[in-house]
Amino acid sequence: MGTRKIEAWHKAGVIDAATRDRLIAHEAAHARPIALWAVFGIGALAIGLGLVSVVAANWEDIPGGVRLGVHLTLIAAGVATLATRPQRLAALPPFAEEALLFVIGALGLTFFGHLGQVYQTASPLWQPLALWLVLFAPLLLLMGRGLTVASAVMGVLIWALWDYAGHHAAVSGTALALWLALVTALPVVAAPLGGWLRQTSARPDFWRRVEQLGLAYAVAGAALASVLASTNALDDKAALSGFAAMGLRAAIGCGAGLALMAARPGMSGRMAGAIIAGAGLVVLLAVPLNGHDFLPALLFMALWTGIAAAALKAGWRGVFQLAVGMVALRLIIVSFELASDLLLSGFGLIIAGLLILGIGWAALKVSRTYAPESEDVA
Amino acid sequence: MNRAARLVAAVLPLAGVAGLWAISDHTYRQGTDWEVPIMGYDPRDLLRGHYVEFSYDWPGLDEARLGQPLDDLCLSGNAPVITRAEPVGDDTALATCPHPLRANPAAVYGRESLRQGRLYVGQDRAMALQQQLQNRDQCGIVTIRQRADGSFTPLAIRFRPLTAEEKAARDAQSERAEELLPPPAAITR
Repeated sequence: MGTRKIEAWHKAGVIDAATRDRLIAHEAAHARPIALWAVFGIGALAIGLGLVSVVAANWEDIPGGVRLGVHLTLIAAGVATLATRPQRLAALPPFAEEALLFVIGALGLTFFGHLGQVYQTASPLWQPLALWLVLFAPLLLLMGRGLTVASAVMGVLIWALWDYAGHHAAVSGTALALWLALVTALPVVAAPLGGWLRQTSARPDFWRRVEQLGLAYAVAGAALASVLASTNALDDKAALSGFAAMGLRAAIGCGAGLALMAARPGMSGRMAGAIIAGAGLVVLLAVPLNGHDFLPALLFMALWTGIAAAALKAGWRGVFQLAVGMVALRLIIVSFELASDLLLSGFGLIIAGLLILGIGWAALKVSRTYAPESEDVA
Repeated sequence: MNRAARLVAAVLPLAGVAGLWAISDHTYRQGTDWEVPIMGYDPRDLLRGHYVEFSYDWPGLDEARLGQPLDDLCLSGNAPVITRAEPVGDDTALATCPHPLRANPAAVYGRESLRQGRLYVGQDRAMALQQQLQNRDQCGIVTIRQRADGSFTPLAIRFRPLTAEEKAARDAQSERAEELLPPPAAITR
């Protein structure tokens, strides 16, 4: 904001001279030269893009050893900065350390691909991902401070486990089905682990994020199971092994939920644990309801109603509104599923439109009226 | 304790990545180089980089076996020229083979890894290779490095012009393929 306006206000007699001087001083102290920053940013971006394209154009001419050497040096420089300059990093904004950790992790992950390119080796994706978890996750888990690093570790973990499961999906057998169920349910364990560590660790925010990601994984898995059940896509080729696998997933979910309740006895911890345990039950119930018209949708809505109730109790505003939105969305989809022939006539279309508006309005009303006041940290 | 843990966590990725590099480099240098003719291939551009994908045309391998799984091969000949590649089918017999090749079920192509392969190349090279592919008068050859444990790595790709006999054989084959096609359906009213 320029000072011209302030001068004009002073001339018009709206503010006195002292206020004018204070305002001008305040503006000067809090000036943010955005245009200047933008120019610097564009310059830096151009240089960076130029570097990238020069390297990319001559990629094949750079010997593999040199490329890998530079790559490894970058990782080493990052790790050395983290390990030897903790005071310097602490003086920087808090996201600097987080960003550096993330960059180290990303460089590490790309190093495996780079090795494969130079030495013409190829392996299923889960192997380098698992190796990355062994080599880099300890560093990230020991030093991570927020959502970025927590999502990186959890994301690679989930990616690796599902890629592993995908590579073995073609093979059948109850033992393998149980093993894959155990493997794919594993990320849920992050919730009680994060819940336990956030109370003892010096970095409670990081472990809170890990717990939230574990909870999100459980909810996403349960929601997916009930959606798959309504499209008759759950594995019923081998009914018994499919049921056993889902049962194991459900047991792990319930166990993780109870463990989280025990680890964090407050209201927030009890509710988060209840959500995870409930998600486990939903996964189990999705199997017998597979292919049914309406019951899987009811299961989906029961899941989100439960989450809404827990959010209400624990005071999570955003979660409550999300849950209400999900229930409303599923209701709309159900109305289309149940009355698809209605859509063929103009009159039916009008009714469907009114129904959607009604559900939307009701959901908005509910989420405005009943949502907890403040966003309590989950 | 905390300091030590941090130190270990910092050293672990560096040591692991460097060790992996050393192992990859060491493995890459082992083995004997062989030249394998290839059939139709396909330049790809995926997130993992530029590579070309091809099928091996093992000399002496019976075409009748095309549909069956190919788990191993025993190469004979004077490196880099393969005179014959023969499926063996069992591990003890393969152990006596001087130049064994084994399909790696964990690799990208799994049990198909003796039928198909990929070679990472740069962006410009991939374009050039694609143009060479248009030319039907040449044959692609991939150099593989085969190791005593049956593992192998494609190293390079090159093209050589077809000889007069090969051209004649190719033309005869495509004519035969045309003969096998059903006659065009007659249109009747």
